[in-house]
Amino acid sequence: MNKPEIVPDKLTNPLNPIIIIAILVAGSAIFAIMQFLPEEDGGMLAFSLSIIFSGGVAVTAFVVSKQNETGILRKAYLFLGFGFIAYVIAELLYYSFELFLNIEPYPSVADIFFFALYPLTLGHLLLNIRFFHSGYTKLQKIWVPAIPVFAIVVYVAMSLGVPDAEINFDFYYGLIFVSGAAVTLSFTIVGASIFKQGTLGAVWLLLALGLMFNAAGDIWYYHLEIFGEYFDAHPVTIVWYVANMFIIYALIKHLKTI
Amino acid sequence: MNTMVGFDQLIAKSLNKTIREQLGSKTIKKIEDRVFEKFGISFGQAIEEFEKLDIVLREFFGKGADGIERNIFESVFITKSQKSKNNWYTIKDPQITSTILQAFGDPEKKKILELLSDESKIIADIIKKCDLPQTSGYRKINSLIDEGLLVSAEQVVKENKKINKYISVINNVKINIEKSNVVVELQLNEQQQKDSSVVQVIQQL
Repeated sequence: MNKPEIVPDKLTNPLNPIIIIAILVAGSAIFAIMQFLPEEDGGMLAFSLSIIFSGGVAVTAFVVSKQNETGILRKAYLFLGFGFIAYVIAELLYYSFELFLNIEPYPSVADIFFFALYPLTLGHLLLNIRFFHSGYTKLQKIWVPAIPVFAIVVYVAMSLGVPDAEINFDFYYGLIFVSGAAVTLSFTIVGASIFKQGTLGAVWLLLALGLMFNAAGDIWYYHLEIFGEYFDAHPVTIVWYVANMFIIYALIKHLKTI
Repeated sequence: MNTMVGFDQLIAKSLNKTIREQLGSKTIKKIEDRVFEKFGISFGQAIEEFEKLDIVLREFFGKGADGIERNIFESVFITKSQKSKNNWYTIKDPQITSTILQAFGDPEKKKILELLSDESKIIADIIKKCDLPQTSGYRKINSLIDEGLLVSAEQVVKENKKINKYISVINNVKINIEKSNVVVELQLNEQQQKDSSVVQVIQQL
């Protein structure tokens, strides 16, 4: 006779450590492969993977939005989807300039679409926070602005802390993106703190990790561009891929949770 | 004894509609399934026994449940009105406003509600004191019970039978017209304030 199913007293939604390890292993494998490829092939691989991963986030976000026909979750995930569509457009433009048109992709019109990710992701976060949050605590009122300030200090220190460093266009240009990434990260952590005791806590933890890696990647990238040290096979590219993989995992988990 | 508390019953339909609009059907389906799995009740029943729905919302959303509840309550009434300290609530939802206005607009229902605002009575006494015809009297009282405006307060034994005594959920009501909107403020009786699971949850937010 089959054992009757026991109704769990409390719902759980644990992270699958195998998937986390698989994401990190995949990132490492991509990095290793890129070191052995000729520059042109490496560029094409980076281009393809950028589109696949950021496109994957956009599609999954739209699926989550569509599943919720009405309500706050529909609107919020629509914003996230459009944010990553902008990211896909940015990557298409960036690599088209670099690989096919032989135009320097940095800075270019692609940056408008890279930057668009931040306000659209912020839209996603603020819609969720405004609906689900019951007010900022005194501690939150301190650390929410502190994170962007800290990120900017780190960026400034990294950029000016090297010999012959100078404050030029690249420094200020990068500062815009670093600020956007850090503000987005701050509010992602607020979101994660709201849901942490529920089954959506795991989803938001993954989202926070993904956006944290994304912010770290952006800060590192704009620091590299100040010194003209970025190239397609640079480890920072892998940071973005891992970030996107975490976000896709978060969105798939969301579909299964609620 | 009826476990469904009058005020919770009065606002349940509006809360149900609002929470479905705000969370979407897929999310509500997950919550419905979990409510049934955990407590063996429907989603509609869980709205009326709100502390159970609160438990399930917290399972999914953690502290986010506070935000959900605040939003759905604020669509129905102003929860932070000063007067809510003395059990006064300003109703925002047009459906509930209409129910209350229709009840007080009906002369027989109005008599019943006024009679039962301070003390509970059995149905036979209500019909006698309000001088109502037997059939329509029973119909009006049942209608008020279904709407959540009357609730069973206690049981008494009469001629070896247990009989319910009913009391009005509302102690006082104020009807204002503000900028061509009809605004209803109602004051719950003390027992309702204690028994209502919705009121208990609001006070913790």
